[in-house]
Amino acid sequence: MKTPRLYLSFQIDKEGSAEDAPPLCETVGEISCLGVFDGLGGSGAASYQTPNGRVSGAYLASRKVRQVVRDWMRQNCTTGLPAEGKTVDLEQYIKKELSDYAHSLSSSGGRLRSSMLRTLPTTLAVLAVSVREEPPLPDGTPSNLKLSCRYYWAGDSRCYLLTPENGVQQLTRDNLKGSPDALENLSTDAPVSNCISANKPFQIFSSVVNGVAPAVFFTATDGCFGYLPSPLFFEEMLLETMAQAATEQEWESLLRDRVKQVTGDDATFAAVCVGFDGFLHMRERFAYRRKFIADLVAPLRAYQNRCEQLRKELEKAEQDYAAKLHSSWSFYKTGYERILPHLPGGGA
Amino acid sequence: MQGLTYGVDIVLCIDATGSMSPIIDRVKESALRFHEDLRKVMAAKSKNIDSLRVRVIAYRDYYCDAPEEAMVTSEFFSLPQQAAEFSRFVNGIEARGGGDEPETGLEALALAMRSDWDTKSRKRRQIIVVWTDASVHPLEKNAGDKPDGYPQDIPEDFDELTDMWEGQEYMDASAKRLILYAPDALGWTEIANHWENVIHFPSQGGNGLEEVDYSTILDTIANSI
Repeated sequence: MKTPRLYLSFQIDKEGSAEDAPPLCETVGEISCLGVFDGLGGSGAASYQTPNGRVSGAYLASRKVRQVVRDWMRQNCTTGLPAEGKTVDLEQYIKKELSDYAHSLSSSGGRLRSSMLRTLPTTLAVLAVSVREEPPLPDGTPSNLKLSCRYYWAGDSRCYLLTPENGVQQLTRDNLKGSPDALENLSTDAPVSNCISANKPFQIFSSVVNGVAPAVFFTATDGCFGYLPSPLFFEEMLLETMAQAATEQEWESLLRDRVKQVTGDDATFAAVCVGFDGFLHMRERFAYRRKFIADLVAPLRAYQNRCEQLRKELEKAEQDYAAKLHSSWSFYKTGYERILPHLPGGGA
Repeated sequence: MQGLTYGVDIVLCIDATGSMSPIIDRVKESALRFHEDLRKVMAAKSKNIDSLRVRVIAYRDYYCDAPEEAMVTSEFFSLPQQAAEFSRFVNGIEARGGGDEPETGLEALALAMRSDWDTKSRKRRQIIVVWTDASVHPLEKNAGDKPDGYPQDIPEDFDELTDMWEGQEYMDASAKRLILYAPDALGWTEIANHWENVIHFPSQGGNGLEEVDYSTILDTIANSI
């Protein structure tokens, strides 16, 4: 029997940029394939003329690499997860396809020189999940679903694992200068140290994680997690929206709305939930973890609210102080200037 | 939408020597509009500027000009509150002196790097923009016999200046950006080729800058790299 899987994905496009490609979310044979691609708007700011108008290199890069990765997955996931040695193959394939694509484009031909500027730069975070049913053992061990996930990345888009026991765990290590951790990264705005591009060397990193169902694997661009005060709030957002939903479609919709409220960037997300007997079962399995996270976040929210309240009080106090300075001066001024000589002509 | 708030500091280094006369008005116009153009691009990306400050360094040549003429600097102007003072300072710059090229552009750059940058904002941009039509004197020129008024804390050579840019002591590695509107000439070409986070538009003080390149410059400053 085929293992039940729930999929959800969304893309939030900011008007005028659309640097994230649509999420990759499909099944190849028995393998669930997910991916997100975030064109770098700074280093890929150079624009190109296309039949659909002038667009940035970042926009073109994320979409081209998505297409290349999807083709590669379709070729390499039909009989199981790609082997470790195939990572170099993926890297070479992207390099060749992106280089050919860059040569085919009509560049704006600008005169700028900069080590910051790259040709067609984008991040990539892709994962492939396989499920294998282990039969019950004679010693009484019940059957279970063994999960295996191979994942790939370049840049600061991420792959994650979410389980009822351990919550959100980041699978990919951000390729950022200075190697900030996930909390530091929210404030440093660090440049990427490795990303896909057509004119500079890059590396596709790969790793594998094995486990037992049930679990949720997902990929996200930084627009999903980069505008929150802490990684804790990201898990809270995932689990709170899950708790408020009755179906996976509702969860997808609520999560998209929450991300849209907080993000200042394009945001792309794709997830596969494996080994749950439907959405309600999944929601039930995460109930304990949701409470655990809610208890961690509650005091942080209290501090947040207190800071906000104090900011408003300070603003009001400064306005009141400025107004009082003027009104008291008006009152005091009459006596203070009573014998001040008037100059001829009314001048000061 | 919540977006992000940034603290943005900009130091504008303007070559104010006599050879800049034909283009000084356009350079001053560019200097005056730069912060507003950047603010618009960042706002379009939901990156709102909480604190915006601009400082100006008008430089000439310590080896030709009187010390008070060789380097004229302002403090940071907070914008929009001190827009009038900023405008007055920029409009007061006149192209004169400097003798023949080269000029003391690297000294101006060193002073710019030592600015009193905002370090309090959670997210920051620290931007230096240079407009010039000339090459630079090597920093080691007349070592031990510098002209009167030459600043004491200027790096001794180009390597030391490079260390200032690449290190963490003076500027934030994630936040810094250097924009050069300068010719392919001694000093500027080396910086463009070897320093991080630099954009070079090879030109006489930005002459011939097209809108598409200007947009790229602003996007590169505003967005992730």
